[in-house]
Amino acid sequence: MNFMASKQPENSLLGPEADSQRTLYPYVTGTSVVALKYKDGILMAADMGGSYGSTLRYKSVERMKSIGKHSLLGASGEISDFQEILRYLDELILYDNMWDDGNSLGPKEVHNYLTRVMYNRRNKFNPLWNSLVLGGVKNGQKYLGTVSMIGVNFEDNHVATGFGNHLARPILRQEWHENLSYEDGVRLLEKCMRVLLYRDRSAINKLQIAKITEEGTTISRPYSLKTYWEFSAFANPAQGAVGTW
Amino acid sequence: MAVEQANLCTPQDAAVVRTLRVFRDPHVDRELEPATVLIIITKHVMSSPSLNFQTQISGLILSLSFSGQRNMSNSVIEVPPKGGFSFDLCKRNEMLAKKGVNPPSFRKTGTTIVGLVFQDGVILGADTRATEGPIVCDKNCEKIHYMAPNIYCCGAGTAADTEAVTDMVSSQLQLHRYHTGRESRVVTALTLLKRHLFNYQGHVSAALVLGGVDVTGPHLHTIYPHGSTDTLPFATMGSGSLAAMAVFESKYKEGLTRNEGIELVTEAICSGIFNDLGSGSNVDVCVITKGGKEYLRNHLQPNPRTYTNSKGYSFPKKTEVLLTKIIPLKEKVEIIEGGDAMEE
Repeated sequence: MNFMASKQPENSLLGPEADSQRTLYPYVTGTSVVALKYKDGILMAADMGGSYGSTLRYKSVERMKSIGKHSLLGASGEISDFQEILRYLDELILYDNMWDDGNSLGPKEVHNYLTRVMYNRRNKFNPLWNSLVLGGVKNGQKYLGTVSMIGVNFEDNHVATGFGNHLARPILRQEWHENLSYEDGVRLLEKCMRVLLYRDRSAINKLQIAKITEEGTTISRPYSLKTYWEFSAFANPAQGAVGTW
Repeated sequence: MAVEQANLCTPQDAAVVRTLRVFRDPHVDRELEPATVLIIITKHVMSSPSLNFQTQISGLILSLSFSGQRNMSNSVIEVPPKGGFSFDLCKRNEMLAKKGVNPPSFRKTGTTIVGLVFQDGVILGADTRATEGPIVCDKNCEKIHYMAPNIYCCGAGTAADTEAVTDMVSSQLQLHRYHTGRESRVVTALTLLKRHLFNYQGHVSAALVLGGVDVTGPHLHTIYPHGSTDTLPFATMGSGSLAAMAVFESKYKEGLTRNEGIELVTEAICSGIFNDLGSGSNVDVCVITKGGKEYLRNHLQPNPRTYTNSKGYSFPKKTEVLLTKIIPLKEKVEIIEGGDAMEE
């Protein structure tokens, strides 16, 4: 029989002070971000909800921000970690500007920087609890990539985080094609966001769509999608058998 | 009487023991018969709303012992077999799982199943892949099960559970048809299925999409393993349900024609097949209308074998053929015809 007077901590290698600094679970979270490449650049959509567990705590959280001249970052997951990432990127862009060499960090470079940050934090068992979407255009080259909280990164023609992977990616795989026009792109994104609104419990009907092209970034004003609830089966589900549910 | 020594684990057990004490007539010096005890206890079980009570009661019964004057001296009463599922080992399994000993993985149909109501009836669709953990064990299985001539049911979850449950309810429906002399109704199948599944508290892992057309019209229902049901105009279940639901939510409208409906169902199943790893192979469709049903097995085969050798497989000729004359073996025993060594 093993008589142990004190309980051994599982992370005994790190020492007692490391515990208070590590992210264990997210508190205020944002739900999915969906983005796709279109003819002139990148279109990205995210709703404006910040949930605190199962409560909808904040309804005006801007989860997409422009980075430097050429990039647009959207994040899902812990909002405070997103704000920390924005601070890191701010510093990065500031230093880049201070060089004043006519060159500026493009989306590919920012994506790489984010990947390194996320992966190194994960290796220290202290992750930034976010799934990021990074899109941008530089010198005519469109770029759209994603980084997850454990450092998985890749680039693709259309990406989504969280529930968007399950609900929006299938639609995008089927209907995305090269050289979408702006209207078609917005329509496709709205289709995805509508499905997410119907089927994701943490989604709210207040979203923003952001566009980034060679000229610059525009983040739209918040607006809501039209939803349809008039199916006859919804009106009277017990039609076939009275008293059922 | 050793009733007092019963293991009182919950307030309900205490209530039962109290009832037993009341029944023991103080004026007649006679022990309570075991049968009486059983009746009292059964009455308590029937009236209690939760089924967890059952396991506690069986524990309680076994801890009673009757030291009566009759032939039952110090014998534990024989509990008649309850039949059906015994939940006794579930706690043990949970404990083992916590220690890292997992039960063997069973054949699941990691699946995409869908149903939708169109103008004249109901269309059901399913993929055809059955998985055993990470392995595909059946590339072309049938997930749309027959319930009645006018009712079909798609099943996701553990393959054995979906097959057994749908078979069982299908037979019950047929007996009911003979009894009533009428066509089966979808709500009948629904109620039989949900009662059975609720009874087993989710351990029968069958998630079903039930659809059919009866005298009251076309109906589509989903049934979850714990026994809850929904009535919906379009429904998806299984691991690929999100991918299929994305297609439905964006493209479904009321009053679809038959061909539009089949196309939408096929599209939804394909979305599941190509975006979900638990679903794959072919698309099965079943169209049910007032006139009858049409079971389109392998309606679409979007995953054919791409490279097949036209010459087939030629086995290498390694063994040399020495002789092509067949010499029969010499018979040592004479065979008598019609020997009945084992009479049936």
